[in-house]
Amino acid sequence: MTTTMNHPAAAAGKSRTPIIERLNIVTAFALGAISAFVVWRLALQFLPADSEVRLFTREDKITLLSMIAWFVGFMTGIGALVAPFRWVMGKDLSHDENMFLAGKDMGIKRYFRYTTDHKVVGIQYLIITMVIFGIGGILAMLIRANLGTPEGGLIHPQAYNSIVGTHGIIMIVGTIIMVTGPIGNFIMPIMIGARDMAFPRLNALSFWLIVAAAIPLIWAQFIGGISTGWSAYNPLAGQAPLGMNGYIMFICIFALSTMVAGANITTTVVRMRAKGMTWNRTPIFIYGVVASVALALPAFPVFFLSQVMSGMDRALDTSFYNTAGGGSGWLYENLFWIMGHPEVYVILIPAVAALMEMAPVFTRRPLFSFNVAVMGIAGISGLSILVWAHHMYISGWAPLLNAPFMLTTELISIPTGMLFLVLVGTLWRGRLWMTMPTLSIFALLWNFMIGGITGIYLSDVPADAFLHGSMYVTAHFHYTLMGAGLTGALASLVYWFPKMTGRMFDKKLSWISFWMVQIGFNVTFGGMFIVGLQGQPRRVEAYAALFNRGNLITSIGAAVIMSGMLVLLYGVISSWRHGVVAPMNPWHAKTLEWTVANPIPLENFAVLPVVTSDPYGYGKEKK
Amino acid sequence: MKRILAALATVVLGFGVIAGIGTYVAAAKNDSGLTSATAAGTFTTPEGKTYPHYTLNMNVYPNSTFGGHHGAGGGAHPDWVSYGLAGEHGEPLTEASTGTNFVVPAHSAVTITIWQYDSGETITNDFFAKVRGTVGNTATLVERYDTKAHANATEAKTVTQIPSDGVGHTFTIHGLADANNQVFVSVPLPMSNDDEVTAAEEAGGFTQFPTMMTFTIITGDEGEYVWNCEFPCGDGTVARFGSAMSTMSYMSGHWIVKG
Amino acid sequence: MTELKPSTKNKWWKHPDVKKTFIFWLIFTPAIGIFGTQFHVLSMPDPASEVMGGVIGLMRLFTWAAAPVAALVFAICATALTSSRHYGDNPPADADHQISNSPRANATWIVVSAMLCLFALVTGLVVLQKEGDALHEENAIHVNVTGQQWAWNYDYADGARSEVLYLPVDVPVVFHITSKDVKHSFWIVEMGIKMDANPGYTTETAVTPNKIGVFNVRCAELCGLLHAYMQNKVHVVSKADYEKWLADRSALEARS
Repeated sequence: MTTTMNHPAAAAGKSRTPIIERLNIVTAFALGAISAFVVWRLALQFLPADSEVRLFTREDKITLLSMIAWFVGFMTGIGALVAPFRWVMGKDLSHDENMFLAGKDMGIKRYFRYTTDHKVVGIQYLIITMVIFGIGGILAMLIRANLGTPEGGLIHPQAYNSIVGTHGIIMIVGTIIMVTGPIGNFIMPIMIGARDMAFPRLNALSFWLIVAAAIPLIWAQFIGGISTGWSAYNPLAGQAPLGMNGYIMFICIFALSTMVAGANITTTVVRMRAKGMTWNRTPIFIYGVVASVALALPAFPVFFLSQVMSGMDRALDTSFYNTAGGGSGWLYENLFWIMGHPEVYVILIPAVAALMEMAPVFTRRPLFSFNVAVMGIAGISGLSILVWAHHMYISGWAPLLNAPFMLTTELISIPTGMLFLVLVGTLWRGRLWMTMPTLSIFALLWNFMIGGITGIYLSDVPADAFLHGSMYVTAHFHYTLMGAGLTGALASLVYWFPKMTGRMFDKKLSWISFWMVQIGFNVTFGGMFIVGLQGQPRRVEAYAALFNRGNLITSIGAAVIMSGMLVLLYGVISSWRHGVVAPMNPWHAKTLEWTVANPIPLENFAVLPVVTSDPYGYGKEKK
Repeated sequence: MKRILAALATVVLGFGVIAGIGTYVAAAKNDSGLTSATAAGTFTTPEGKTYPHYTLNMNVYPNSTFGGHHGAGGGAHPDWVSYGLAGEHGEPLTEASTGTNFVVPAHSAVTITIWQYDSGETITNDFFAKVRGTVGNTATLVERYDTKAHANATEAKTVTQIPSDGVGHTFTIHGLADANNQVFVSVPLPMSNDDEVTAAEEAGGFTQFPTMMTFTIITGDEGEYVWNCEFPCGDGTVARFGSAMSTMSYMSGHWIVKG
Repeated sequence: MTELKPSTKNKWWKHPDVKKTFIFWLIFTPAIGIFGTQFHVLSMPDPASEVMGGVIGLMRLFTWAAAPVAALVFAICATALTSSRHYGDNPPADADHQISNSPRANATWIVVSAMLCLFALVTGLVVLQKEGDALHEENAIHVNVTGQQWAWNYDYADGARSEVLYLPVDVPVVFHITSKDVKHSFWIVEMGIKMDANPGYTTETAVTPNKIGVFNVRCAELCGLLHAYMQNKVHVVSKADYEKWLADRSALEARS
């Protein structure tokens, strides 16, 4: 592994089990719960009462302190602090201990510990992504059930607002990690010919931070919920019930996780590519993953900060966002979207790049215009930092800035067009090997085209004055994040499933679920475009009779998507348990991950590979 | 074939789970049941039009000491203001299991009497200090109603507005309904005597002399409306519109006009 | 259709795949253009102002501008799908066509997309400029709009106040919008204007209604519990009716 110091002191204390071998998910939850309870009790006892004016700050303080205690307790309990603590004490981890952390025993238990092996972290990410999509999907179904009839009425308005907010934020988190988490951690290091990530312990940290973050969000549901939508605009968030603190903690911890993962993945790719893997020979998927996490690096600290300020406004009576105290809601909107717009490309780029990686494999020809693909990814990443205020055209914040932001936003269509060129160029006169990932390339082109064109309407200030805040926007970003992003992620799952699990993904089930999801998806969000154009605002729990038909179509479509996803879920479970055992390279692809045996040995490569060409040389030898 | 059946079973199972969660969420909805207006003969407007007549009696309390009005999951909130059903003479109906969602017949006159047991302050938007949308755009105000003697302690007077620095709460109906002429009613409810309110609260009850507002509205076409209080009377959070103001069935409810 | 150069010695446009793509493209372009514009225009409400007419015009224009590009992408997809498909657990032989780059295709693609982008930008700016001028219309009436959780109210000149918006037809109106509590968004659907109501600030937007009728105001920014119910009607009436209504409202407001 990385640091293998054989410290005499550690070897001497062999008689008792080292502390790191005792820590796991159970101790983490236990310590987290205990410290949350203790701090809650202490705060309840000793925090002074507030003045009459701000009745709720005391409860906010208590909630936030308890959640912070949970976080510290959980991270201690999982063992995140052992190695840094030992390092400070001058007693660094021994080789044996490091090998234990890496999961040398290869047992099932390593998935429930602070394991540093990137392949374990990848599987952990895969599972948590599936759990997040499961919960988010159920919430989506509740929303659609409520909107099946105009009066709503199935769900209570507060609960409805909270379901919408929770669905939004966890799906955003789910889609952020859906490719870079499972595939980026499991496959990416092997793809570049490395034995692990640059910072294996940070890798484990980034995963367990997400688990730690999940609890405040669940907690929030029982103390008033997240009644503000996923964007949690202030001053509405300042008015929201205590559940808002759960959102704040969730975002802060998740932002930490993203920053840690971003630093780790970027370093790994820059420093640890195999010998001979020049930038021109680096697979396009790697570019996608790096662009994504590198974009998150400037974006998520801002998100973190925006929520810290939000929490301070609630608990400490500051007024960053409160006009009455000299603050401004526009400040929040700016901070939020400075994160928010790069963030959608954090989601989108790796999914598109994954499909660009698969396109040559399934057309049996080289990737078309590798350089254009790289430039497209770089162009999107660069421009995405400069477009945030297109979410604020009609906020009244700075009408004079509308024109420049319209310019930067519309410029993004140029690098986005480059990605289309690369994909259709690769399809051009290829020999299509019809698999679920192949179909996904077409689905991506279809959905992303619709998402992209509707994005151009929305980028236009006058058209946005009509469309902003309507269901049209909701449909648009589902087309990009789900129609393009999730499509790429599901294709990635099927494509890399043989390497991750050693078994092939059931072909028939992958096809069935593909068609159900894609058809259901287009029905759902086609209907949503209609009601948006008719004038239905977002995030409403009841609507005028006019919007009846479109909403009914959408609700039916959503049920079809859900069915398709359930088929996929069954496909994952059954293929993982008793699918056909996969050969080493089932797709006859040329990237490095297919050169290692199944199951992959602990350190991937016995001898580090040397790369002599790009991985797209299909048919070259025939010349 | 076996795989397809198993996949189908997963789908069925999945929807079962969703249905289960949906039922749980629907059941947990802390919404009070519906209260129908009481029939009371006919009502003739000053213009001479006659409508079937109904009545509704409500109270506004400085606290929510009894939970039934706020639905199953709502419950008592001693630090929240709230509406609730009232008896004929403004007596609190502590046992009532419904409270804030009303069903009234279309094209009828509904006379609403509201006893206001809370103190008050200056309203942030004096638009809502005026009586709007009632018959004649007026309401009848009794500044002190004696709830023990069941009689007016001060003379009833017809008002079109109340001083904007003496507002306790408002009763404002507005809504989603799609009719071209939507019902909009907003009646300010004056504050009760501050000292009496505080004294009564310390004694664990309500002031003997609440203010009483009576007004009649014509319900119009059928449709779904809501009502809420437009006087910011929630806790100290932004604009004082949190807690009781942002939780259904305390300072808000449905107003359903049925054909 | 200058995308890709086949490896054969023949002229590139003679290749059957190019012909096929071209035919698909010829079919798809009008199909997408017509479907796209109809989908939008039929769903959108009839315009009640020039601004809304402009929005519909922009959607039409952009859809038609995007149609050839979308059609090309879909035509290549269709060609690929109809030319060579292989099912099975093992891959087909590698494709004959091994071109991994085409500077000409790249350049064409980038130049065309840049031009479309410029076109979208310029059309948007022209309309934007017109709307900016509307704020300074001299004979406009001014209405102060106040959003409050969860109702709108409107203040007119002469002390008239209302919970329902009444506007005279064909007279420019400037809205001064603010909020008493959280953020709301003032949206007159059929007039195609929207502006956020921010607590502590006043924002402006302007429109000239050009049709008599009843239209909708909806709040377009999540503002809490009863956000869904924060909607109301707009009555656009003749100038005379408006004056009468305004006088009535002023009188109603004036009485004690």
